[in-house]
Amino acid sequence: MSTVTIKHVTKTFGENVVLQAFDATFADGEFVTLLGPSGCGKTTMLRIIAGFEKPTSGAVYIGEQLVSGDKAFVPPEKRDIGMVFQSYAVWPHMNIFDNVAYPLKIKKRAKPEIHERVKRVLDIVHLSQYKERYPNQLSGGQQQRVALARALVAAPKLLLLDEPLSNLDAKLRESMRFEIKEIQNAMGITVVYVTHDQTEAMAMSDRVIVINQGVVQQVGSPMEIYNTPSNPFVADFVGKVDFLRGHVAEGSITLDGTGQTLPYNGPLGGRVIVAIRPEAIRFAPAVHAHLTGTLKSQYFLGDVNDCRISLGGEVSLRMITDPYSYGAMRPGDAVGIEVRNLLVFADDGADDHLKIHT
Amino acid sequence: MVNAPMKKRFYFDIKWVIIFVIVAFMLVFQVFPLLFMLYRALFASGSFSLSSLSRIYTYSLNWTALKNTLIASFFTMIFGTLIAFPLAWLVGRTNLHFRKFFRSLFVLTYMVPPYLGAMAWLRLLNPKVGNLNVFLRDLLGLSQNPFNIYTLGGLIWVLTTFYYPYAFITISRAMEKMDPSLEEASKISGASPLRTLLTITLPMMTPSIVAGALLVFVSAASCYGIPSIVGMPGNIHTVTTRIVGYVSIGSADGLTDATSLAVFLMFTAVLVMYASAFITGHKQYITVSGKSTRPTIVDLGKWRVPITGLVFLFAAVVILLPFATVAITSVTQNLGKAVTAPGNFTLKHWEKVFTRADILSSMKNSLLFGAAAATAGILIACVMAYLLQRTRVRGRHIPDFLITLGSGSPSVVIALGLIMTMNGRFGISIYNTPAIMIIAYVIKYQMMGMRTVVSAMSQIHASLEECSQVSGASWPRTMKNVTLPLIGPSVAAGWFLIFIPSFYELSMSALLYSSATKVIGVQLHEYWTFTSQQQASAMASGILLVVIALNVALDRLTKGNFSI
Repeated sequence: MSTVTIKHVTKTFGENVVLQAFDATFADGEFVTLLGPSGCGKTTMLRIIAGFEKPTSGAVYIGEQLVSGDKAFVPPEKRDIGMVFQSYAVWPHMNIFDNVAYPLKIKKRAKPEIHERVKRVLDIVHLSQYKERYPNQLSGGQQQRVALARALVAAPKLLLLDEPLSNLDAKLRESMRFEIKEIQNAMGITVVYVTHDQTEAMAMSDRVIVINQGVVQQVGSPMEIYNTPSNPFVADFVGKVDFLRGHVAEGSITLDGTGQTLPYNGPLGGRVIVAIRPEAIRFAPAVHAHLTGTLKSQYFLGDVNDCRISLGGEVSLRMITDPYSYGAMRPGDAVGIEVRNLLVFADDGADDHLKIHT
Repeated sequence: MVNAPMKKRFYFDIKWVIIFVIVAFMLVFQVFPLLFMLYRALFASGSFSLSSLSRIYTYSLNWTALKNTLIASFFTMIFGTLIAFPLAWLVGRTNLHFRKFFRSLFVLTYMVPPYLGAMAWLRLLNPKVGNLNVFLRDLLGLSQNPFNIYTLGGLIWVLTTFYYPYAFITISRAMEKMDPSLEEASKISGASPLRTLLTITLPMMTPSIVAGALLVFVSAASCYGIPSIVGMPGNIHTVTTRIVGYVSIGSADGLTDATSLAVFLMFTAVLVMYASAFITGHKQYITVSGKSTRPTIVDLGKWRVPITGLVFLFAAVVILLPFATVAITSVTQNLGKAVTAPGNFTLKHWEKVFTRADILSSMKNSLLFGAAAATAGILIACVMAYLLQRTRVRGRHIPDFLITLGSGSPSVVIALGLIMTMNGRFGISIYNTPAIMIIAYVIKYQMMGMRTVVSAMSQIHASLEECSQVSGASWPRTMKNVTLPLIGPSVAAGWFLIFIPSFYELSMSALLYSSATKVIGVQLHEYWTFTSQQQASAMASGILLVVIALNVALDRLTKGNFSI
């Protein structure tokens, strides 16, 4: 159990800047997720914490100890960390017991203690009956749990997980999410988790760090990054969203190309980008409606009704709503929409504004 | 599917015919000769007897040759592997200086004719006048020269310096394929770099190390060039030199003995191939991760410079020194004196390389036969790659197996088999023609081409072709527009991989050539043995330059993606 402090870490590979001035502190026992699209630098940050990469500048502390910095470097094998790799990295020439016992053998623990601790950790990951088997006799999900057991067996101060669920099928991924979370709760260990899957990040994390192109975009609880994203990139990356351009005038926003307005009392003025999540809007009778439009299409998906609504011109919104509304209206019908929540960002007019935010 | 029956008829039509043709070719020119030799060795007097085999044990010269072959190959295997693994690790997994350069250098040695090394080491470690011997004697103030190349030890030394790259390539290729996070997982578990090397890297590599070692063993045992140049002057005979000796004498008894020796060699090779396939096939640990993380490089720390120095010294002694020696010999007038002595520098041997009719005609033969073999081999390779990767035709693995068997057969065995069966006795008379040499080259070297094309083909998902067909392109047009452009560089690379060893081939050519089909390897060997070491060195240097030029061309052609 340990805190991690990252001070102004940068990383460049030749010309290529992978991380720009990364600052963060992870509290003891906290579950922190580094979330971002592939190539954003999240794995590099994790590998710097592990000691597989050295930061170009800046420092990393685990607890009070400086592990990466100008003055000191502690190699991975001396950092007392558990790590689960994306490819699991379960050694195929050792059976499950030997795989899991490896960190304890390195630490020269006594045999009875090794047996006791391996047994306990295999119980936690539900693999006790497989300890004599070899990795090629196990499924992907089981190998993944072996990797997890191996990372946990020496009771490390810190557990690093590098997209551990990305090679699993959807059902297994979901159940492993909760298993990992439960293990973390039970052991009270500090976890740094890397993923590009925002649902995974939301489901497991105490705090999420959203990264894009080597720059931290936002740090916050799942609820914060979802409900109050700091910029359009975060809004887009952590959920479904439609962006509409408009301008602020006299307590309302006039949406470009539609002539319609939305009430707005925020601090921004001039050109703005309005972000609306599909679940934040619903059908409403004309009197309650903020916007009016035409139903373009609707799809019954079982748990929801997934609709597209044209607001006039080229502008349209996606709405994900109550499945029982399906069929109440037909494509082509005029509909009223109630906007229950909206996000407003200043619009600097740049075309790449929505995707890249540095 | 509606057109399923049509498709099925298509299967029977063309693909089976192609397989049949390839299999028939291999059966006639490879399997039949080998079986015939086995028959000759076991049924020499008409009925089954082991008498011809037992003659080998009783005739001491052959018995000694057999022992020499086993001892030399065994130690070459041990030393070669002991050299290759650390080198592969240093080049692939550490921050050794000039890693890429060293890698290319070690791989290049693989493409160099082995007799070149034998020639060089003969000049360097001749017991009386070897340059290195004299240099070391003067340096250390010894009363006599420290080394004698004309010994079993000398033979092992030269074999090792030329066959360790076989293990190096096998091992470093496997190391590149290994998922680096397997090693990282060990480090994060607390293991030191050394412990990681011993408990993770080494065990994971064991199958490749064993396969590489066995390859070195069988290559060393089948080598003719090195023992004929290094061993024979000191009366160190090996199985291959005995076989070539018997064939050049031409007596019936001699041929029987040669056959028995060849059967022994073949038996060893098959055993080794089987063992190697068993080990690598049943313990395939190599895992390729989806994510392309670069392997973490082990920091050699304060050892970085000393170890780089050591590797450089090794490369200098094993590669640069022999190359330089041959080059210097080629421009020396009188070998008794240093090349720098007044009037001792000459270009006349080089002039002859480009003017002498016998050298030019043998050069022409080599280019021609090599090109023919490479073209035939790569055609078979392309067809095989298609059959193996794109169809599920039954029997497609039979030609694959035969091609592998052919390339694993010792050269002299292939050649001897062809001599004994293709002399008209069984209706095919191609003895003393270019055809017999080209066929021999194809059998021995086509696998290199096939593996290259097959692996390229395996990386092109069939959907790329299917997509072209769905877009309306016919099958030939799909081949032309999609498949060929994608595998083109590999086809070219495969062509060169067959051409290069065929071009300077000696072991088979020494048995198969006639006055009209003499090739450069044989010509060089004759110059070396009977006429002028300088002239042979000039030719060898020329071959070396051609090989290096082809390698550079290959590298450009495949944009550096090519590696053997």
